[in-house]
Amino acid sequence: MKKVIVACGSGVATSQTVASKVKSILEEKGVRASVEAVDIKSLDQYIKTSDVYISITKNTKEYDIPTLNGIAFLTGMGMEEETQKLLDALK
Amino acid sequence: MGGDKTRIIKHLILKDNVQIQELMIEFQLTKLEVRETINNINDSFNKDVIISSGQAVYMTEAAKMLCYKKIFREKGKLFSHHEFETRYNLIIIVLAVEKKYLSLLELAEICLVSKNTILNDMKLIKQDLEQKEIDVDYSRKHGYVMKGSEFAIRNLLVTAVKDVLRSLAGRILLEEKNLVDSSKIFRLRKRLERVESRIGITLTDEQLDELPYIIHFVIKRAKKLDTKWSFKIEKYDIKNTVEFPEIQQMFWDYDFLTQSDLLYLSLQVLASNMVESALAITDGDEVSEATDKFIDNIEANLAMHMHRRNELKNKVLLHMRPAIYRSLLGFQINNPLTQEFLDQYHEIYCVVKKSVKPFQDIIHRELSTEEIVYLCMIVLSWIYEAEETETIFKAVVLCQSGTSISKLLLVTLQSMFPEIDFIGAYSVRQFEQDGEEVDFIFTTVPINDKRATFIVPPILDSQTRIDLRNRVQGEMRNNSDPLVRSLMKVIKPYIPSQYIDVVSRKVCCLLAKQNASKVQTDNGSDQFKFSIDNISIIKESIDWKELVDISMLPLFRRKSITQHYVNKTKKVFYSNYNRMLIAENVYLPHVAAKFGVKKMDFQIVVLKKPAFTPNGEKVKIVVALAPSVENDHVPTLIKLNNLFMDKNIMCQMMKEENIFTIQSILNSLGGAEDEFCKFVSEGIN
Repeated sequence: MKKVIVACGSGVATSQTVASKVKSILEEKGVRASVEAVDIKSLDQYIKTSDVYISITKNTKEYDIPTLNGIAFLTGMGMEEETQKLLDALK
Repeated sequence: MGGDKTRIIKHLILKDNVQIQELMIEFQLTKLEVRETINNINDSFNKDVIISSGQAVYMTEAAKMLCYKKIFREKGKLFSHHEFETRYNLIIIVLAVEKKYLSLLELAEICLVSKNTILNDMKLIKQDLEQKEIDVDYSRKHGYVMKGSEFAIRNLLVTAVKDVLRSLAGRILLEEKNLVDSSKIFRLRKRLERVESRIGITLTDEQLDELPYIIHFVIKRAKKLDTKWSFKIEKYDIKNTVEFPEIQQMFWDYDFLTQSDLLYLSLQVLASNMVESALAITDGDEVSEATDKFIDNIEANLAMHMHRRNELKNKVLLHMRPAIYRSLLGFQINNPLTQEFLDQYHEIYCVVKKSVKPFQDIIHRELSTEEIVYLCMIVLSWIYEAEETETIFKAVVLCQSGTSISKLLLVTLQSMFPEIDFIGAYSVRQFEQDGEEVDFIFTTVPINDKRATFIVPPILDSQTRIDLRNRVQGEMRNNSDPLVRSLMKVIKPYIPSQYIDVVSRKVCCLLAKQNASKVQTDNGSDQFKFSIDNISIIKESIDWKELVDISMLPLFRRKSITQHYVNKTKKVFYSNYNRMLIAENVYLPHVAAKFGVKKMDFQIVVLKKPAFTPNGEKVKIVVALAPSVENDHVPTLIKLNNLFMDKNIMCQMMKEENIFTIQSILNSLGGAEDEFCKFVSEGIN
């Protein structure tokens, strides 16, 4: 099963909220994937085993896997595009 | 292997039902560190020796033994002390198998206590054994020895071995005390498996695990015995049964065993619970005839016809044959569910008790309450099966015995989850062989399976029932495949074959949509209820640097957080604020619960005059959060996010002067939730 990670400062609130919303979207679309919230300090460790990274802020670092804008899921602005990117990445 | 890893393994070997939170507290680790350590341990063994299930972690008995052999056996001891019950059993075992005087010092070394403690233990043991007509002889010079009827001493030895095996890490205890030789145990198990196939029986997993140990210790005792002994079996001519010569054959190379030894060992096998037996129904067999009469009595007393009578007869026979041998041996079976069963199903107990006379006529004595309760469980499970209805999910109950013990669990689970079709209660070994298709596994023993697996105790108390119901319902919500399968089975004949796949996909999407909206609705009950104390309206301008102090102050005053939590939040928030938000212009200062959360809490701070981040972004609302360890705050955050995504609501919140109106908005289910649902289901429609 493919894995999506969402990272924020603590891994307990913002990323959990985004992860929960992303889970709902994937369930509705019938896409099977695990979605996990992590804290930013552990990101490097988790990213090795993940397929998509949803970032809450603009990244200064480049990763080898598709990286999406998590703010879109919090504000609703640009959510459609980010959702499409997510679905494409999980195909 | 590092300190934390070794200590976690030791903790898991010596304890059952361990929660991740317990490991976090015990070893001062974060949740992530615990998970990392577990992953590292599994990596170092190249297999999952530690299995995670939700918030619980556990090890199978085989994994415990593997870890013990690799880490503790050569380098150090696993056990540092023993409780009285363990000391009692260890003393009985060593006195029985050594069959010589053992000094206080020798016993103290085995039990890891002082000589004085052993002296006190021996007083209690002596008193207890007197009731079993066994004497403990003591001499100042030589120490202690057991004397008495050989039959009684062997039965005592068998009971002590069973008690140790059923205790936590019992097999490892016997290894650590050098009381068993694992190669001999393995050989005896293989021989028992051959006996099983030769006489067409399948022992329960529990019995197949225990019997090699029991036989091993009885043989050790027999080897040391230098006098002849015999025991009388009333009425039954066991030597002329089909099973006896086959069982006797498995001890062909133990030439020191006497006929009495062989008879005793054979009885141990015959008195063991089985899950299958080709010998179960034999025409004209005394036990078979008694079983027919027993079922006749049940039907007459319950005024009902038992369906699949032959299968029921087989089940009853499987239990009663060993029960009769147990009765001949004078073994009292231990049924931990007896009292709970009697409390809950007293009427059925009275009916079964009235019906067991045919069995009592064979053994010439009354059946014990425990044995009758086992029979009740079989009868009751049959009655429940007769009432089964169409269900969507399939599940199985697994336990070590696969017999009556799991029947009550099965009945309990059936009553808790009428929407699940329980295919039955099996031993792990039997289930693996049959390969039945199920959606859920309920098991009393840890197993490693990819399907949704729930580890449950044999007796479910009220809290366990609530937790289990929540977990199972969550799993059912997330898994619509079985419902799709059921629906497709019904409608398939009416769909042109080329559209079957399309219809199946449509049904799948439709159900997923339904489930998602159900989750949203269900979340209502998990929401935090905002009181006016949870809301602050600040009309003055405030400085960015005061933001955390001001928003956290009400949480601190309500004693939901500590000062350390506030300080830590300031440090983390001011350097990571761009990652700590819940919607546009709504910031979320917080850190993990371990930094000082006493209870989950929220403070919604509405800034009538927005503050500004160092990046120049507006801060209109601050949600000061004291999160829960179990993430119980997440449903509320999702609701807040839905509210704040709605521009109209956001606008209303910012303009509103009345705190009660803001409270009402926060506690409502409105907001952008509907739009969110609409958005995510667009692809389906």
